[in-house]
Amino acid sequence: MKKIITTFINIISFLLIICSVGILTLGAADGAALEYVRQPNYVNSSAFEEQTNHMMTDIFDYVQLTDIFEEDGNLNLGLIIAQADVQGQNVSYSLDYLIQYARSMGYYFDAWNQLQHDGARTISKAEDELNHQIIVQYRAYLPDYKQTSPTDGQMSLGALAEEALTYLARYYAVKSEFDNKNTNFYFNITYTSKKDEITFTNDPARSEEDIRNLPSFAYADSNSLEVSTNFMSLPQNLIPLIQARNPFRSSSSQYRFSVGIDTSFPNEDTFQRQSNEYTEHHVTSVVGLTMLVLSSLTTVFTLILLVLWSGRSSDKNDSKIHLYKIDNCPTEISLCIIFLWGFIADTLSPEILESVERIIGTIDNWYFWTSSLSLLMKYMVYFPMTFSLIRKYKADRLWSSSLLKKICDIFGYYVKSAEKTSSRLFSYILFVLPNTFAFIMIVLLFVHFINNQSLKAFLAAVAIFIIILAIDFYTWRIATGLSEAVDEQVKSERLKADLITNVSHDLKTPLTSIISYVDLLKREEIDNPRVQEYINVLDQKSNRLKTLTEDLVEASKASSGNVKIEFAEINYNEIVEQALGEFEDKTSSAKLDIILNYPDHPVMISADGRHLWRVIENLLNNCCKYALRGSRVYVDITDDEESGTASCTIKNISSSPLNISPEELTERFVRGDVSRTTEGSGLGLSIAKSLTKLMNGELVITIDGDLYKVSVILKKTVEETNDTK
Amino acid sequence: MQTIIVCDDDKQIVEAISIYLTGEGFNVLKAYDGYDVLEIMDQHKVDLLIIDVMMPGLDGVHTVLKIRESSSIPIIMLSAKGEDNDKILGLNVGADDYLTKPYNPLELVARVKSQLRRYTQLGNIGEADNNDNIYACGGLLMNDDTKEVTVDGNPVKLTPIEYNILLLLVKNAGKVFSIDDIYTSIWNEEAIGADNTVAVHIRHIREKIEINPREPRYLKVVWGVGYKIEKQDAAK
Repeated sequence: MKKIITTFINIISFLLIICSVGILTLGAADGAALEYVRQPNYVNSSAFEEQTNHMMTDIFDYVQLTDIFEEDGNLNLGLIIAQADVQGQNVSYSLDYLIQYARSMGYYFDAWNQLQHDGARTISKAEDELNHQIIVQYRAYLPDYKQTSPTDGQMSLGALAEEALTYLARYYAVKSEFDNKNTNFYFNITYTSKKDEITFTNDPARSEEDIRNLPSFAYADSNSLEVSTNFMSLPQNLIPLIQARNPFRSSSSQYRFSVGIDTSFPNEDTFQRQSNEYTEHHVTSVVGLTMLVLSSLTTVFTLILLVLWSGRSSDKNDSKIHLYKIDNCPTEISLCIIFLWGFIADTLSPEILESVERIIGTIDNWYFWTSSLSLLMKYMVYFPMTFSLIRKYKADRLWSSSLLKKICDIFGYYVKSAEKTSSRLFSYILFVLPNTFAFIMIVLLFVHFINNQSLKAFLAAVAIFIIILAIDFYTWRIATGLSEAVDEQVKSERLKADLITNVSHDLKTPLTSIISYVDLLKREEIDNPRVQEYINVLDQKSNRLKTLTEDLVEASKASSGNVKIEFAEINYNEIVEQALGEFEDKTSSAKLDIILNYPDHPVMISADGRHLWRVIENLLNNCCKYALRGSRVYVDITDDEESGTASCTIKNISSSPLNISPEELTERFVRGDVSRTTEGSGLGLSIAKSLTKLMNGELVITIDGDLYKVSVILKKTVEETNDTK
Repeated sequence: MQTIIVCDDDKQIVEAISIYLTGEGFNVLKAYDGYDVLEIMDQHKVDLLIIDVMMPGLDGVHTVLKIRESSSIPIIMLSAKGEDNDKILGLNVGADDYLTKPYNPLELVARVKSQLRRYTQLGNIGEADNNDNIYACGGLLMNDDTKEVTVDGNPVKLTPIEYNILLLLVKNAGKVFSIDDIYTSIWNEEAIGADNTVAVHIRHIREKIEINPREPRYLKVVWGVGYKIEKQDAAK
C-alpha cells in the first residue's frame, strides 16, 4: 500500500517539476528567474537601472532637439534648417520645405514616430539623385559642422531631407517621452552664464529642490566633479553630455543638473508598467522555483524510497524479493526498450506537437513543450523498466536472466558435450562459427549505429541477435540430447560403483565378527579332529571372503575411474625388482624360477607407484597361482624408444589348459581355470587392466597354447627430463 | 592392570575384541556409542580407547574430538571405511592409529600393545638421547654399540645385512634409497645385473619390525623409486 502511495507521490511530483519549469519558462524568467527571486524590488533591478540610464541620456537629446526645432514651445516649421550651394547659388531650406520634399519621395512618420519610406511618391530616388545634387554648407542640427574640402557635404536633396527628418523623428520621440504629464521621471537642467540663465525641465512646476527630494535622484553641478545620487549607476558620459549641451558654449558658464524618479510610480508610464510587470515576474519566479525545488526533492526522495522498497513485500518478516511478470523479460531486452524508447520519444514528441499546433494554432515556447512532452513519455517507460531492472538486481537475476548468459550456457554446454562426444569439430561448426559471425555483424552494425545514429542499423543488429539466438536454441537442443545420453551412461556406471562400495561396507562389519570368532574357535582346545578341520575350512573361506570384498570395491572403483591417480616419474626396473623381492617367498614356495631381464639404463615411466605395484602384484599373484610348478617365469622389461613406451612382460606356462580367450580372462569373475577353487577373487586381471588404463597405459594378454603372456605397456616420461636426470 | 575401552555399535565385535584383550591381561570396558565412552571416561581411569567410526548417536570422529579436549590417551580407530580420505580424517582429528575392517584380531592386539608401550615408556627414549650411537625413529630404536634393535620396547633379531640396511635407512630417515644405492653402500661393490637380493632383505626386515608388513609404519616402499624410513620424532 505504501508503495502505491509513494509511486503516486512520485508521479505527481514529477508532473509538478514539469509544471514549475513551465511556469518559469512561460510565465516570467527569460533566463533571469534567479534575479527575480533575489531582487524583489523593481527599483533595485537591472531593468530599472537600464531604463533610468536610457532616459537620462534621452534628456540631452530632448534639450538639444527642442532647442533646435522649437520656438516659444512650438515646432517652428519655418525654421531654416539647412543652407546649400546649388549650382553656385546659395539656397536656404526651411523645415517645412524639406518635409514637403520628403513626403513627395514617400517618407512618412508612423505611429511610433519612426521615419518610414514606402508611401506614395512623386519623385523617385533616381530622379532625386540625378537632378537635385547640392553641396550642404550648414545644418541646424549639426551646429559644429564645417566644410573642409569642396566636395564635403555633397549629397542629394532627398538625402538631406531624410537626414533632417530623422532628427525630427527623434525630436518627436523624446518630446512625447518627456512632455507627457503622466510621468514619474523629472529633470531640471539649468545653465547659467554671467548674464543669462536657461532652464530645461519636463515639469516646470517642480523646483530643483523638489526633484532632489524624490526617492531616487541624481544631482550634479559644475562646482563639483562628483555626482550625488542614489541610483545604482549613471550613464558614463553624463558630465560630458551636460557640458556638450551647454547653450552658452563658454567656459565660464555654469550648470546644475537634477534628475529624480518618484518610485511610488503614481503616474502611468514606462516605469509604472515595468514595475508592475516586474512584481508579477517576481511572484511567478518565486512560486515556480519553490515548486521546482520542492517537487525535485520529493521526486528524488520518493525515488530513493522506491528503489529501497522495490521487490520487497510490505511484510517485514518477508525478506524475499518478489518479481513481477515483466521481470522475466531478459535484461538485454529491457535495456534495448529503454534505449529505443529514448529515440522514439525524441522523434515522436515534435510530431505530436505539430499536429496539436495544426488544431489549436501556433504554440509559443516550442522547445519547452517538446522537451517536456518527450520527458513525460520517457518517464512513463523508464520508470517501470528501471524498477524492473532494480528488482532483478536485488534478486541477483540481472545476469541469470540475461540472454548473454543463455548464450554462455549454451556455449559451455557445447564445450562440455564436445568433450564427451569427442566431436569438437561438430560443435565448432554448429555453434562457434555462426555465433562468431553474428557477433562480428552485431558489433559492426552497432558501431555504424553509434556513428550515424541510424535506427536501421540498430534494428538490423537486434534482428541478427534474435535470429542467432533462435539458431543457438535449436542446436543446443540437439547437443543436449547427445550429451544427455552420454551423461546417463556415466551416471549408471557411477551408480553401480556406489552400490558396490556401500554393499561392501555392509559386508565388512559382519565379516569382522566372523573372522574374529573363527580365530577364537581355533584357539579353543578341541580334541575332535573333524571339528578342527571344519574350523580350518571356515578360516580359509572367511579370509577369502575378505579378499573378495576388498577386490570387489577396488575393481568397481578402478573400472568406473573413481580412483585418484598421482603421476610420478618411476623407474620401471626398480619397481619390478621391488615387486619380485616382495614375492620371493611365494615364488620359491611355488617352485617357480624367475628370470628377470631389463635394460642397463633406467627406464623412466610416468605412472602412479602404488597403483602400478597393485597391477604387478596381481599379475605375479596369478603367476604363483596358475603357473606350472617348477617352470620358469620370464620377466622382461623393454624400452621402446620409437613409440615412447616401456613394457613389462611376464611369460609363464599355465599349469592347466587355457581354453579361453584373452578378452574373457579380464572380465570380472572369470578365471583362467574355472574348475579351480583356490584363493583369489578372479578380479585380479580386471583390476590390473582398469588401473593400467587409468594410468594411460595398456594391458595386453596373449595366449599361445599353454604359454601365457601379459604385458603392461606404459608411457615413458618425456626425453628432456630423462636427460636432466 | 591397564584399562581399555572398546566401543562399537556391533555387540559381537565388542565381545570378540574384549575376549582377545582380556586374554592378554587387560581390563576391558565395553561401550556401544560415543556417549557411553564419554560417560565411562568420566568415571574411570582409562589407558587406551578402541573406537568404531560409524555409530548411531555420537559417532567416532566427534567422540575423539571431544576426548582430545581433555585427554591424550592412545586411540585406535576401527572402520569399514578404507578410503585414504577416511584414514586421514581419523588421524587428523586425533586418533593414533587407524585399522580398517575386516582386520586380523591379532594385528589389533599387537597394535594395542604397541600404542600402550609407547604411551607408558616414554622415559626410556629420553635416556637414549644422550648416546650418539643410539638411533631412534618413532618406536624403533637402534643401538649401534650393542647392535640391538627394539620396536616399541620389544627386541627384534636381525641378520647383519638386514641390520646394516636398516641402520643406513634410519641414519638417513626420510631419504629415499634406490636398490642400487643400498647395494653399493652395504656390499661395497657395484650392483650388476638383475638381482632382487635387496628387495628380499627389505621385505624380511619389514616382516620383523612391522606389525602389518603390508601397511608398514617405519620401512616404507616408494614404488618404482626405492625405500625409506619415515621420519618421525623419537619422543612425543
